[in-house]
Amino acid sequence: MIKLQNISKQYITGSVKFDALLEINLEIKERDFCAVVGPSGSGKSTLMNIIGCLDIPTGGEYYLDNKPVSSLSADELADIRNRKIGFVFQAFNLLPYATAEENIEVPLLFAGHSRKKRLERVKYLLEKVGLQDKALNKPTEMSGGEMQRVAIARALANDPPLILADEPTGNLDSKTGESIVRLFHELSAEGRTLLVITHDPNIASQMPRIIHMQDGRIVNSHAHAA
Amino acid sequence: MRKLSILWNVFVRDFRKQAGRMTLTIIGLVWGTISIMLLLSFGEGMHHQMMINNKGMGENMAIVWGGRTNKSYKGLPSGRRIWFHPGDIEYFGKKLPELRVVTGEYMRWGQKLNYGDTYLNKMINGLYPVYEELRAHFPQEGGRFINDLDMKLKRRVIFLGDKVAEELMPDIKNPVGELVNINGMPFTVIGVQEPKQQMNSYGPQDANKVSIPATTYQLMWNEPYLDNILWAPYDKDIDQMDEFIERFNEVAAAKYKYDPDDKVLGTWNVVEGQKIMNNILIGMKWFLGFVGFMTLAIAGVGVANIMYVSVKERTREIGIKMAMGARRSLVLWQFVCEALFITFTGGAIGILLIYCLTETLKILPIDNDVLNMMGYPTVSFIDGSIIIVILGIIGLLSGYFPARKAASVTPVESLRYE
Repeated sequence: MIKLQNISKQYITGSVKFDALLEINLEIKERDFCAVVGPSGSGKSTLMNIIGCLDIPTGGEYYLDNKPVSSLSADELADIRNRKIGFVFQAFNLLPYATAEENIEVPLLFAGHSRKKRLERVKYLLEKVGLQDKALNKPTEMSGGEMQRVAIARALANDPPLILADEPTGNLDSKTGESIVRLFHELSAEGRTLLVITHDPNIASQMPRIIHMQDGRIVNSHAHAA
Repeated sequence: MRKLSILWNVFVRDFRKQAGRMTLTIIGLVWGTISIMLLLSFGEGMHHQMMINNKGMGENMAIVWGGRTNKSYKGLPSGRRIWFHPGDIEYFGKKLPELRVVTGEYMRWGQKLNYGDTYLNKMINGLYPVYEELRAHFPQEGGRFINDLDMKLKRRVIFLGDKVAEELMPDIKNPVGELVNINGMPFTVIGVQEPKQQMNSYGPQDANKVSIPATTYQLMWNEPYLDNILWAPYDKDIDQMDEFIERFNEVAAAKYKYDPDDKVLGTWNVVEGQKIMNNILIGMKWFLGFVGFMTLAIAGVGVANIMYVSVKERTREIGIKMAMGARRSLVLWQFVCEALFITFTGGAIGILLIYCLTETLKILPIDNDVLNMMGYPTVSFIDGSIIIVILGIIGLLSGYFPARKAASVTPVESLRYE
C-alpha cells in the first residue's frame, strides 16, 4: 500500500540545513498495524506527514497504492487526504468554534455528501466512539480523551483505509490512553492500515510491527508475533 | 455544481460560527459607506440646488447696457452717450436673426407704491411679454404675466414680485384683481411671481420688483431710453455666445456710429457664469468625492486588515481543513466569499441607511435659508454604483491575497502555525 524509496526531507532555515529524514526506505502493507518509535527529533512526525500527503519530501519517491505521489496535483492530494487517510493528532486539531458533531462532519462536507448522509454518518461515528451524549459539545467543553475520540471519529468520517496517528495518547493520562489504543485495535480488526507514532513502549509493544527511528533513519523495522 | 454546494455549505457553517467578528467588520464598512455617501449626497443636493438657484435669474442669455464712447470716431467726439431706444429691440432682432429673442427693459427706481394705507418705495420695471420666460418671471397659480394684449392696449396692469405682494398686502391671500397704485395711479394686479431662489441679479431681486407693460411705462414716463437690452440665442447655439456678443456690438457700432473696437457696451454673458458655476460645482463634487473616497479607503484598509488578521488567526484552521481534504480552491473561495459578503452587506446597509436619511429629510417640513441654498442631500444612483464597485474590489483583494498565501503552503506548515 505504502512504499517509500530513498525519501529525504531537508529543512533549510537561513543558511542552516537540517536533515529530518535521510534516505528512508519503507514498505507498509495493507492491514499493517505499525508503531513508530524513536526519540524526539528522530523524524517520526516528518515521516508521518509525508505518508499522509501533508508534506512533500525533498528527495526520493513515495508510492501510494503504486502511484508516485509526486505526480499528483494539489487537488488530487487533497482528495486522497479526504478519502483515503484519516489523521489523529497529538493536539487533537479540532475546530474550536465547532461542536463535536460539526467537527466530525468536516471531511464529509469536503467530500460533498448530502446533509442527510452527513448526519447519518456523524451519528454512527459518535456511537462508535461512545460520545452520543456529547454531540453538541464544543472542544472546550470536553475532556482530552473525549476530544481525541472526536478526532478519531473525524478521521473515520469517509471510511479511509489508512489511519495515521501522531502521538495520539501524548496529551492523555495512561488510563484514557489505553482506551484510545483499544479503539485503534478495533480499527485494525476492521481491516484498516494503521500507523501510530508513540513514545510509550507499553503501547508500542501491543502493536504487531514496530519501526524504530533515530536521526532521520529507520534503524530497525521488525514484526513480532502479535 | 457539486463544488458550489460544498462551498456554500462550508461558507454558511463557518459564517454562523463567527457571527461576532463578521458583525464588527460589517459595522466598520457601514460606517465608511455612510461617510462617503453622506458627503456625496450633500454634494449632489447642493449641486442640484445651486444649479436651480443659478437659473433663478434665467439662463442662456446676455444682458447689454449702453455706455460712453472712449474714442472719437468718424468725426464724432469721444465721451458720447450710447443708450438703447425701444426701437432697437426690433432693429437688433432683424439684424441678428440668429438670435432667438431680443427684448429690453425699463427701470425706474424709487416709485411710490401703495395698497390702501400701505406705502412702499419700489423700482418699477417696464417689460415685454417674452421677459416671463427669459428671466423666469413665472406667475403663481391663478395669475399671469404681461401679455400681448396688455402691450397693445397699454393696460394699467401690474405683476408683483412675491416679496412685494407679501409686504404690500400681507392679509390678501390672492392679490389677483386687487387695485394697487403707482404714484397714485391705479393698476390691477394680474399676477404674483412664483417664489424662487435667485443667486444673481442686476438691480433688486426679482421678488422685490414690480412689473408693468413696457407700453404703459412709456405712456407714464415718456421714457426715450431702455435701461438695457436682453438677448438669447437658440439653446443649441449657447457655445457661440462670444461670437454673438461680437456681432451684436458690430450692429450697435454701425447704428450708433462708434468704433467697434471701442468698449462702449457692457455685456453680462450669463452663460459664462453658468459655466463657471458648473465648474465650481463639479470641482466641489470632485473634492467631496475625493474626501469620501479617502474615507472609504480607510474603511477598506480596515476590512483588509481584519481579513488579514482573520486569515492569520485561522491559519491553523486552514491547516486542519486541508488535512481533512479541503482543496486549496475551496479555502480560497471561502475567504473571498466571506470578504465579498462582508463588504457588500456593509455597503448595502450603509447605502440603505443614507437613503432612509435623505428621504426622511425630504419629508420633514424644514424651510430655512440654509436648506434653500444647500438643497436636500440626494443619493445618486451612479455614486452608489461606484461605491459598490469599489467595495467589491476591496473585498476581493482583501480576501484573496491573505487566503492565497495561507492556502499555498503545505498543510503541515499551516498546522504548525501558532
